[in-house]
Amino acid sequence: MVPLVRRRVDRGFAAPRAASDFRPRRLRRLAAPVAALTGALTLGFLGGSCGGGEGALRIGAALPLSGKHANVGGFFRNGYQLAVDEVNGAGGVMVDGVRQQIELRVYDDKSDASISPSLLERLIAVDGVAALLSSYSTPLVQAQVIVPMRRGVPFVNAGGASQTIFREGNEWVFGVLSPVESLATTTLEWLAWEQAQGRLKRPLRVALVWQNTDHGREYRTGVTRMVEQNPDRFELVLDESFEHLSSDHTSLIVKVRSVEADVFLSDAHEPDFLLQHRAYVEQGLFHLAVSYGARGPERSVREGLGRRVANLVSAQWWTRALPYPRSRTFTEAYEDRFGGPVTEYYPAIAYEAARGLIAGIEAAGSSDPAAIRDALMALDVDDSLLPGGRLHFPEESRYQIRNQCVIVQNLENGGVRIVYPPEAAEGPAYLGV
Amino acid sequence: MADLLSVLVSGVLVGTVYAYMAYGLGLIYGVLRVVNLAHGAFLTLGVYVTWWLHAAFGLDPLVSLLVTVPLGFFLGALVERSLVFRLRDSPPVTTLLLLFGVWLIVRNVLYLIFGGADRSLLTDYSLESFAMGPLAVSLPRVIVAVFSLLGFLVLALLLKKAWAGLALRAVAGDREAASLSGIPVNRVWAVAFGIGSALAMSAGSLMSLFYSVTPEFGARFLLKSFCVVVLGGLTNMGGILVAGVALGVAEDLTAFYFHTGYRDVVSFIVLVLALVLRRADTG
Repeated sequence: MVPLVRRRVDRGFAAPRAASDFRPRRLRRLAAPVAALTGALTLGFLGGSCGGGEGALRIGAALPLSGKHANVGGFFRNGYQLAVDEVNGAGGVMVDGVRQQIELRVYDDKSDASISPSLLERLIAVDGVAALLSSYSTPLVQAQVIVPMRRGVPFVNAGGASQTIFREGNEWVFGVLSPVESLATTTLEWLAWEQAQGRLKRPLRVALVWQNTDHGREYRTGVTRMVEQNPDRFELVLDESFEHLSSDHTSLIVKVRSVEADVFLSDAHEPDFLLQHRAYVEQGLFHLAVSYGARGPERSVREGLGRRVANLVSAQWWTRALPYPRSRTFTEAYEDRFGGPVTEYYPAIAYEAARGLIAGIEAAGSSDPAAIRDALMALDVDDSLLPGGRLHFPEESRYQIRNQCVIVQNLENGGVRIVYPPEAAEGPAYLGV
Repeated sequence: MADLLSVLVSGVLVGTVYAYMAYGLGLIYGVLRVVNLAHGAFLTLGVYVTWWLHAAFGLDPLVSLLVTVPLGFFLGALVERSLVFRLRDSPPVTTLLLLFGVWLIVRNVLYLIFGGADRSLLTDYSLESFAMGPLAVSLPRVIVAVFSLLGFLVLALLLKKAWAGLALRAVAGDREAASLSGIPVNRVWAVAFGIGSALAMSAGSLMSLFYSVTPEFGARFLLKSFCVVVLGGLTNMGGILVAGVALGVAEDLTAFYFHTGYRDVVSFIVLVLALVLRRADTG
């Protein structure tokens, strides 16, 4: 051992400099800024630990606060924080016989699925969190779920709707987003309801295109299942996939035109949606109903397509127009604190995920992960802001919520109107785009 | 028949976009023998600058070419002078990695400034189309096609008639001979990189008429540019134009008659075939 060490020293390390080479005064001058910078970096890295402090119960999340999902990551952080602050403002939660504040610890996963799981490991091993909240986007959440499974820590997911996230035998992952399939099934349920009202003909010729991803495949499953179950109502005349981030959609839209459908359904992420609907408008197509899955009400969509998105119909996991008291109080509190209007579902779903997790901790009355998990399995909140007003995690869907979505239609003035389900509808849909 | 014509017209229009994207890549490779992996960065920058000028000052994307072309030239020349020039005698992989690094830096700076959200702009004519018999033809795509042809003509004239073009061709042909005959090779390299980058940024400006942009935008189109350049003959601008149009038409016909999902596969097949056939030709 000794000769080895000696050789490394001889070859690799420079000899110490003479004492005169050092400049202690300059070093002292640098010491304060370096210390300040180190402190700032450390705090910055540790991110938003808010409220709580000594003796608080920690929950944590790795969120995309930078990178391609940074805007949604910001919505998620705000939603999580709002729920935590509400509980802390009301005195905290009773855990192990003591009322405790909740501390939310957040790291930036930089929208990178390769580092997100290691941040969860850090939250568990170093920060000692009792439970976890998810990142945003299906690929990031798919990467994350391995950690709570392996470490036995409850994980509430608000960021991925794909059923691939909820694996057989995984009892630690709970989802507040209904499956992507629900976007499709609710849309076809709405069409069937319009048929029942005598406002649409039977059967409807449906043209379906979907992006070749887990999201798109699950949307397709929802449509094809509904079509198979209702052959008197729907006829599928086109069923075709397209690649995500395609450079042009004109040929696909020409194909849609050639099948002469009554309804055009597409599942597309935003860049493909913008390009596809542009081609749709340019080619002068007309359908009784046009839907791009969950796309449509976003502000960025209006920026790119202006009034040409009027009358598009979309299925949403939440919308601010839902007439539930919890939804209204959330919207007011969120807009009061972070500004608004809240035009997208992200902060609401994040808020509901954090609220659900805290309700689970409260019900467990313990910081023991297994106790929190058991409480989440049995959770049944009846004042949820989600469509249907109920938050619970059914075992038969591997603890992923199975609420219906809500169907909204874009208005000319930039707003949206709920058109389905009937109990929440603000008016009839305009049929024809 | 109307459907076939629609698809053919769409393919030609998309192909001219591919060609415009690829001119700069071909020019830089022709003169410097450098595969410019930062090409995607300049393309993305072009879209962002155009978007910002539109959002902040209401500037039309076509007018913003007056900004993006000189800016692209300046930035390209700067990258060449400050980075590429220093590695001119290094193995090609070194320059490749260097320019990949430039791309990563630009991408992350764009994330810092603009975030990751999709940005798109809307002009009065963004969604306009006009009838041509039974066909509906997109006005923005026709505008881009016209600019692509103009770009080709200007580039062809520059290379054939202007002194700078002759110098570019001379350096592309034989660097040492050009140097011995008094052509300032170093300056020609900077000019070539500048023109190539200006073309990429102006392509970005034009593409903002129909594409939304995120900092990842360039990655989406870099491979297509490579395909077009390889298919068109690496340094042959006319070949690049024809190759771009051929690729656009092939993609659209494949998407329409076979499956939309195979659309991007066409690019890969073309790239592989072009490389194999070229290898067979030269070997």
